[in-house]
Amino acid sequence: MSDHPETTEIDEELEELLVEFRAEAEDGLAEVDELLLAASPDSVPGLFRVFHSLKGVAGMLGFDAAQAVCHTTETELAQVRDGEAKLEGELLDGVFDATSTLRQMLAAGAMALVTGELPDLETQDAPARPDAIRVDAERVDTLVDLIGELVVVEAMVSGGAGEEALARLSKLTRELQRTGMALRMVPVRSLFRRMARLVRDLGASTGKPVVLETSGEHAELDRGVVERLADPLLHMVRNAVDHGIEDDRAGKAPTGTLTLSARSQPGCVVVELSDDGKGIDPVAIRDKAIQKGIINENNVLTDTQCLELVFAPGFSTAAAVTDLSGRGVGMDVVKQAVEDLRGHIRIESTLGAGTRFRMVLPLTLSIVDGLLLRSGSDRYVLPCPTVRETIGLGTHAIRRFADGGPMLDLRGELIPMLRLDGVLGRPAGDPRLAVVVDALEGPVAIEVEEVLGQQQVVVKPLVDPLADARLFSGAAVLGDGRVGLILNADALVGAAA
Amino acid sequence: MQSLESRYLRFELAGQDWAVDIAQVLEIVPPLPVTPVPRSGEIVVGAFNLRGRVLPLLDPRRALGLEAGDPQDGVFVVLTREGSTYAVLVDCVHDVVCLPEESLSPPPDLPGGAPEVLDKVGRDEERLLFIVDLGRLLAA
Repeated sequence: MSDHPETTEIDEELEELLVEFRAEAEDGLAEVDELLLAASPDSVPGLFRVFHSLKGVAGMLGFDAAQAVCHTTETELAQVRDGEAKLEGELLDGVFDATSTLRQMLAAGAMALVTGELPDLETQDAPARPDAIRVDAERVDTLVDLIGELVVVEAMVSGGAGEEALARLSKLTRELQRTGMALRMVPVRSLFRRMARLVRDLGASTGKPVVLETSGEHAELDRGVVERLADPLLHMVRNAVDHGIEDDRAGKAPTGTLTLSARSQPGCVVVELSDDGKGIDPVAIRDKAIQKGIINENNVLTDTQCLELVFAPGFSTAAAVTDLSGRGVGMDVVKQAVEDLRGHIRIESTLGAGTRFRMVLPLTLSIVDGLLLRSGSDRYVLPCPTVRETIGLGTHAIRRFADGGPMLDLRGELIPMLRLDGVLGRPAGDPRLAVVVDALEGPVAIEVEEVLGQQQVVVKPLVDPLADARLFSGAAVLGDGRVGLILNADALVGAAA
Repeated sequence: MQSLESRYLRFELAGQDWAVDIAQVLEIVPPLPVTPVPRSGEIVVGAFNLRGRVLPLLDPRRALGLEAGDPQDGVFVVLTREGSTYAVLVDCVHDVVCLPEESLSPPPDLPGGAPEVLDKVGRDEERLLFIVDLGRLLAA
């Protein structure tokens, strides 16, 4: 029993209305985002329609503050429609502000939509979001159909039907794997929209006219990859606006253009961010790297190798520390984040014409190309992207120094060696091969008995209490159904030290 | 009325009868190939593949101060507790017994202290049953 039955009732009623309004508003605002991306005269009728209908719903439900916001925006848009104003400058900012105000109200709850009072965002805890994903109904239907088919094939197999059943089963297995994987895939569209908003905000705060052009928003990646791509991409966009687009656009269109694109390729998605700014001078980069002690003067580097130095830890190209990118986070963090996603990043730049970053990302974090190794009776998986090469022991000299372990002399490069059985504390025979792996702190040669082959494996998380075993980044179910552990080269180096 | 909480799965470990709350038991599977996980806890036998899930196999003998068992010579009891799923290695499982609340008592004072996983002692007719809380294996 409540002391204030009336208040409670009103609250409940408001919350119910909120659910209704939220569904409507979220769809509407998503449409607005899309229209604002283009921000062309063609967008105006659509924008007008959305704000007009939201105004109507808000008014009907008694959400006065939300209604007022929609009304103001609608009035402005009407002026544009009637040719009295243009969709640019302050007016365009107004539309952006209206969408973010409405979003804040929706997040804050029903009372905010009525009164317009927003809680202090700094002190407000982000609402806990359950780990849920939205999935196309069509994909779920496909999955259910396939499972129905599986039941049929099971009956065939248990009935003793031989080859035909097996053929159907193997086809079905592949289909199921593909469909199951697709459940986790999302288009990069929402990520690209975030970047479009960021570019607008950055343009406003720096005073540099800059636009973002996007393409390939429909390309799909694993949800986890998309989420973890957001931070590095934010950083790269900031860098591009801050350092890429010049203040003085001599001989160029006054508005700087960033281009963000995605395209699907077999097994991966290529995401590119380019700008038409001043480009990067490889000589300047090289000088700076020498000055910072990253390389020394005797290093002979190609232009491409010079450009790659921007990814070196401790390197920052900014001449002056600015509010935008001078935050102590450099491109090395971006590179690390992309590599953590088992992708890789490359830079191309033409002095005076612009810079392009190309990221190749795996479709999913749950499948990895692995090198299968044997040490004693154990088998381990080493993710291929980290593997440089495999060499036979005895083909290269091994140098021993008084104050450390053995070093492999690989064409003049000294690489520390690490015995897998030693680090793991497992019995094994004499190693015959060394797999050279790029670890965080440089290359390391891991000694193993045998390389069994290369295969794609599905990565499974290690659960408690196995999760304590930091030496492994996960487990894989191998071809024979047994579990193989996936080695974490960085942790191996740490454990061996 | 019988409540689920009063039913226990009776299993054998090192010639002795033990029991575990059936509400924690997900399934019982014959031994599967186990991959040792180096540098994991002392009670961890390794990891195995249960229809695509990689689960840890624990050996409660090691927590009870007994000699380690052979993973291919026993039965895996898959348990879930507080969101984690894992399996324990036992010699064999017998049956499900119902124990009324009044037949349960706290573990006896043993010289040197009772094993950490021992939760209660139950009396089923003339038989003594050691009821273990295998979730405590994870904390061990």
